[in-house]
This record gives sequence, C-alpha cells and structure tokens, in this order.
Amino acid sequence: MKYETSLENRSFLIVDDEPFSRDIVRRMMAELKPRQLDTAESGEEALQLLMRGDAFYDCVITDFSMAPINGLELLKTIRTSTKRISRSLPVVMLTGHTDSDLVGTAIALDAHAFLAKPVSFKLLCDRLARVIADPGPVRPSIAYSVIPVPSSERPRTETREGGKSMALESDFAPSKPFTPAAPAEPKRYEKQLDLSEVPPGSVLSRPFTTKTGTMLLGADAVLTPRMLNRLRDITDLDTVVDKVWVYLEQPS
Amino acid sequence: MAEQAGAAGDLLLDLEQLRDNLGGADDATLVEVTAFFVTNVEPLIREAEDYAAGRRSGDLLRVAHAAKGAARNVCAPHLADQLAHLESAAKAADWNAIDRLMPLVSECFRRVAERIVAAGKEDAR
Repeated sequence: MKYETSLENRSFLIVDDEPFSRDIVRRMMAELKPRQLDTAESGEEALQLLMRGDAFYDCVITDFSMAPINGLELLKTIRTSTKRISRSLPVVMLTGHTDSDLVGTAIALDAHAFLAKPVSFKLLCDRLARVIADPGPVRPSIAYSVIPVPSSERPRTETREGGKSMALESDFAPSKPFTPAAPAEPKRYEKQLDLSEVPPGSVLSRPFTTKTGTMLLGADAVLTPRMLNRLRDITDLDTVVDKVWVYLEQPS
Repeated sequence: MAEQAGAAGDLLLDLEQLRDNLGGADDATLVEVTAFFVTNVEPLIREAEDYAAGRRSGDLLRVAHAAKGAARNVCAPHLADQLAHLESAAKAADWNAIDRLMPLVSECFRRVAERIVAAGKEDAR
C-alpha cells in the first residue's frame, strides 16, 4: 500500500545505544530532509529530549535493547505519560531476530510499527509514511500501566502467566455485552491464511505465536488493519510465521 | 567497490545489499559507513573476548547483542548469525559453547574487516 504522506520537513527522534546502528538510521533519515533529527543513546536520554518544552516529534524510532531504560520501557512511559509527552506519539520499534519474544509486549503497548534489521531506506520510508498518515488512537493511560515490561536489568525473556496473550490493542473489538436472547452466531469455519490474504476484521481462531512458542496475540483477537500491518512488519523476522488461523463465515 | 568486496548475496559482506538498504548510496558513502562499522565494532569484539575469558556472561551478552545489530545492519549476515549464537550461549552461560564460538566470531569479524579495508583501498584508486 502506498501512502501519500510527505516525509520531508518532519521531526524525528532515533534511539539506539549502538553507535553504528544509530548512525546508519540517522543517515537514512537525513535523506528525508527533516526539520529536526535528534538521536539519543538510551531511553533515558530520549525521555529527556521528549520532555523538553520545545520538543515535538512526528515519530520516534527506537531499538528494544538499551540500558538503563530500554525501548519497551520508553514506549510504556510515552503511552502512560501525564505530562509533556504526547501519548499518541508514533513509535517504530527496530527489531532483531532475537527480539521476537518482546514483540507481543510492544504490540500490547501499541507500538505503531516494526522494522527488522538490517534496516533499509525503502522499508523505513514505508513504515514512517504509514504511521504518520494513520497514527490511530491510543487507549487510556491506565490500560498501558498494567502491562508488565521486562526492564533492562532483568532477563530479556519472560514467560507469561497462563499463556495469555499480551496484546490488548486499542482498536480491538470490545467484548460483547451479555444478552440473554443472543441470536445464533453465523456458522463459521477456520482456515489458515497467509497474512497478506487476511481480510481486515477477521478474528483469530488460534493464538498467533512465534516459532519458539511465545504468544503474540490470543485467539479471538480481531485483526484490524493496524494490527495486520504490525503483524506483516514482523514477518521479516525469521522467528515469526507469516500465516495465521482465522475464522471465516460459511458461504450460505 | 562491489567487485572487491561483497557481491550481491555474499554472506560475509553484501555491499550491494548495503548500498540498496541505504537508498542507493555512492561508493564514498559506502566506504565511510563500512569504515565506521569497523571502528565501532572492533572494540566490541575485543570486549567480548575479554568477557568470555573472564567468564562474565552478562557483559558478554550485552556486547554480543550490540555487535550483532551492527553486523546485521552492515549486511554481514554470517557474522551477525555467529554473534547471535554467541549471544544465546552467553544468555545460557554455556561456557563450552562460548569457548567454541568466540574464536569463530573473532575470525569472522577479522575477515569482514579485511574485506572492508580492501574495498576502501580499491575505491581510493
């Protein structure tokens, strides 16, 4: 899908503690003739820039693994901000193949997009155009504050209790209210589809997991257009499958 | 530069992929970027060797992860994969695996750096 949003004269913040990777992304973004292009070596430095009175960024591009504040902690701080930082600030997560276990948490925190390494200019522009054109809504701060985030001091992988999905995206369909005389649901069957073929609005019939078994989305999650875009982003990672099981309605 | 080092699909150093990833960078930019990679990652490899020798798995995990991301971004997939294995071994504090992998990582980085230096010289001619 092509987005017509111009990426020129925008303001960006790149956050990565590894100087080479930070520099290569900065070089790419400099090609976009930004109004402002800042870099930070950690989540902590990024927050200082974000809380500066004159700071306004169109998008933050951040790595996962940093200290003392990692990318997920930065994302959570943005989404739960009560002060100067816009909670709906678009955030693109730079992901490596070993970060796939953390992607579920990033989805739950409404990361806008994912970009797998090696970073390419073409895909970077695609992601930026998409998230700036359609940043979408975010949920109330409290919805994010309850999401557990592995800190940079703790192990990077955490098992999740009961195998429950971490993803609680804002544009999930709300649960149906109880109605005593609910009409019978339409007959449906499940089918495995390539992510590129899944119709927006489809419902997962089985959890969406990485090849290592980490659940990224639970069964019954609604695959909104935004969610589909995010899942397609992460299929660039070796550890993420590009097929999902969804419910389809029986033809009448 | 491409003739000297890194034909398309080269697992050691794919400079054509890097050029493409950078949006069609010229040779001078490629030389600058790859030289910065060597300058930046060489100390990480030295640190990794020290941490492996000193049995400091947490520090080894950190530098292996950082070097891996850089290797992936410079389009040195073989080095990135080996660093990923080293990172996994460090995570598990599997010292047998670390002792086996560390020399492979060092050697692979040396070969990548040699290619980069050779390509830079070729470009300067």
